[in-house]
Amino acid sequence: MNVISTRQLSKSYGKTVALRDLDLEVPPGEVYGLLGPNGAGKTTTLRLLIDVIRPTHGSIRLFGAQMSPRLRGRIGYLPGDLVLYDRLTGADYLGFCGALREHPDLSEALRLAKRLDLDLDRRTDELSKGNRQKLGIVQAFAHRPELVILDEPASGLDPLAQREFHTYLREYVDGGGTVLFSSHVLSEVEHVADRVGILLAGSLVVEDTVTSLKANAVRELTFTFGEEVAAASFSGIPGVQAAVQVSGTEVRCRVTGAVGELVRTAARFPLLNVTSHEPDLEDIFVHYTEEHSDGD
Amino acid sequence: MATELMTKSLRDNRGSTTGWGIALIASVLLQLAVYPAVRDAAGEFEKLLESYPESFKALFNVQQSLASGVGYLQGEVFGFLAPLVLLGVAIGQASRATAGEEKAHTMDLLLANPISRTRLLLDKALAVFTSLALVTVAFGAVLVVGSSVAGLGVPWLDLVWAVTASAVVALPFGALALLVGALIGRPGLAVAIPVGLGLLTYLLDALSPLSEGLRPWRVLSPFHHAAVNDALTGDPNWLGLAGLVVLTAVLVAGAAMAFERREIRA
Repeated sequence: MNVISTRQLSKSYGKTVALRDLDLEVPPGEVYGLLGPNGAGKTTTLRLLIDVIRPTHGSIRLFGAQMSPRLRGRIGYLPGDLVLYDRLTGADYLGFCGALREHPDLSEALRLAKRLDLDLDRRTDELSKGNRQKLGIVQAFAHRPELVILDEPASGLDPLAQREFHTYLREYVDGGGTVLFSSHVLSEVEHVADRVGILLAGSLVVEDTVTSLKANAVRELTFTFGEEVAAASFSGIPGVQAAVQVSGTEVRCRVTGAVGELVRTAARFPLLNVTSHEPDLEDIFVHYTEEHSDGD
Repeated sequence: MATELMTKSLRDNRGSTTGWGIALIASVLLQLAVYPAVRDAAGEFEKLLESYPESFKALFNVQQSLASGVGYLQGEVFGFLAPLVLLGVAIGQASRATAGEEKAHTMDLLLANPISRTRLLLDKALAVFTSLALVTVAFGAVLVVGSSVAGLGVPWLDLVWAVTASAVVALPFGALALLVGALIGRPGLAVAIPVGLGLLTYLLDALSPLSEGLRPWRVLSPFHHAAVNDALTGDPNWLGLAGLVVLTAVLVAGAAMAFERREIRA
C-alpha cells in the first residue's frame, strides 16, 4: 500500500486549471521531489493533500484512507507560505503543536533544532527568515510523523543548514519515514530525492529518477583547442543537437545523453580545455515543455 | 488536547478583553460617581430633558426620570455603553477567530494538526464566549458594588439580570461574526456585517415606540427580545433570552458547517 495515492486529482479556480488529473503514487520509504516553476501547481497539490483545499474532482488516499483528523497526527507539514505565531518563542510554539498533536515529547524536535543550530528561546518574530524556516522544519518532524509533506523546505536556509537538513531527511527515510517535497531548485532535488515529478502548468509531464532525468537533459560542453577547429566537425555525432563556433578555437555543443562519442571526437584535435555546463532545471523544463507541447 | 487551542485563543485575545473590560468598568464607575450630583439636581435635569425630542430620548434609552436609580442606569449604562462594549468584545474577537488566522496565513499549519475543523471552530467560539463572560462578570460585580455605594436603590438581583440580558444580546452577534468569518475568511467583513446589523436592530428596537410603522418589525431585533429595561425592573424576558441563546447555537452550528467546507486561501 502506498503512503500517498491520488487518482485524477484536479483543482480548478473558475476557468483557471491549477492541477489536472494528477496520479501520484509515493511508496513507503521514498523521497519524492515535486519540481516545477512557480505557478505549476506544486503548492496546490500539497495543500490538497493536507486537506486545506478540496479537489474539484479526483481522489486522495493517504495510508490507504481518506484524510481525517486522526490521520493528520501521522503527517508532518511545512507550508510554502510559512507564518508562525509571532508572540511565541520557538519552544512555546513547539509546545503548542505538541499539545494539539497529543505528542508532548519534544526530544526529536530539540535534537533537530540543535542540529540546525536553531535557538528555541527566541520569539518567532525576532528570528531571521532562515531561522523561521528551521522552526517550520522542526515542527513538521516534532511528533515523529510517518509522512512529511514539505513545500519548498530549503528556501531561506543557508548552505550549511541545507546540508544538515538533507542529511537529516535521509536518516528520517532510513528510519522508515516517507517524504513528499516541492522545490524549484534542481540541486536540492538531486541531493535528496529518489524520484522526481515535474509539474508544468498543472500537469505532471514526467516522473523519473534524478539520474535518468539528468542523463536525458540537454547539457552544454565547450571545447577550447590549441588551433582553429570548425564547429562542423562535431555535427552528426550521436546526441549532439547543435555545434556552435564561439571563436576560431572554441566550439560549444548542445548534447543529450552520453557524451563519450563527442569527447572522443574532440580529443582528436589539440584539446586544451573542456567546460561542462550542468543542465539546470530550466534546461530540463524547456526540454520537457517542448516535448509536452509536441505531444499535444 | 484541543483545549490548548482555546487557552491560546484566550491568551491572544487578552489585550482586547482587558481593554474593553477596563473601558466599561471605568465608564460605569464614572457614571456612578456623578449619580448623586444628578439626583440632587434632578429638577433641573427634568426640565432639560422635557425640552429634548422624544426620538433623542428613545435613542439613549431615557425611559423615566434620571433621578431614579433604574432610570439613571437605563439611560447612562444599559442604553448605550453596555451594548457597545459587550458587542464589541463578542464581534471583535469572533471576527478574528478563524478569519484572522486565515488572513494571517497561520491557518494552514493549524489545520495540519490532528483536530477536526468543527472542533477548532468550537474551541475558538468557546474562547470568545469566555472572554465575553469575563467582561460581563467584572461589569456586573462593579455595577452591583458601585450602585450600592452610590445609593441607586436598585435591587442587586435586578442588576444581575440586566447585566446578563446585556451579555446575552451580544451572543448572536458574536456568533454571526464567526459565521461570516467561516464563510468568507475575511475579518473585515466579519466585523462590518454584525456591526451593521447590530446598529440597525438597536435603532429598530429603540425607535419603534415612536413609530407605528416600525413597531411590528421590532420582533426582528435581538435587543427587543433581550428586554434589558424589563430585566432591570426585575422582570427578565426568559423566553426571549432563551430564544437568543438558541439563535446563537444555530449560528455557531452554521459557522462550523461553513468552516468544514471552507477552502482556505493561500
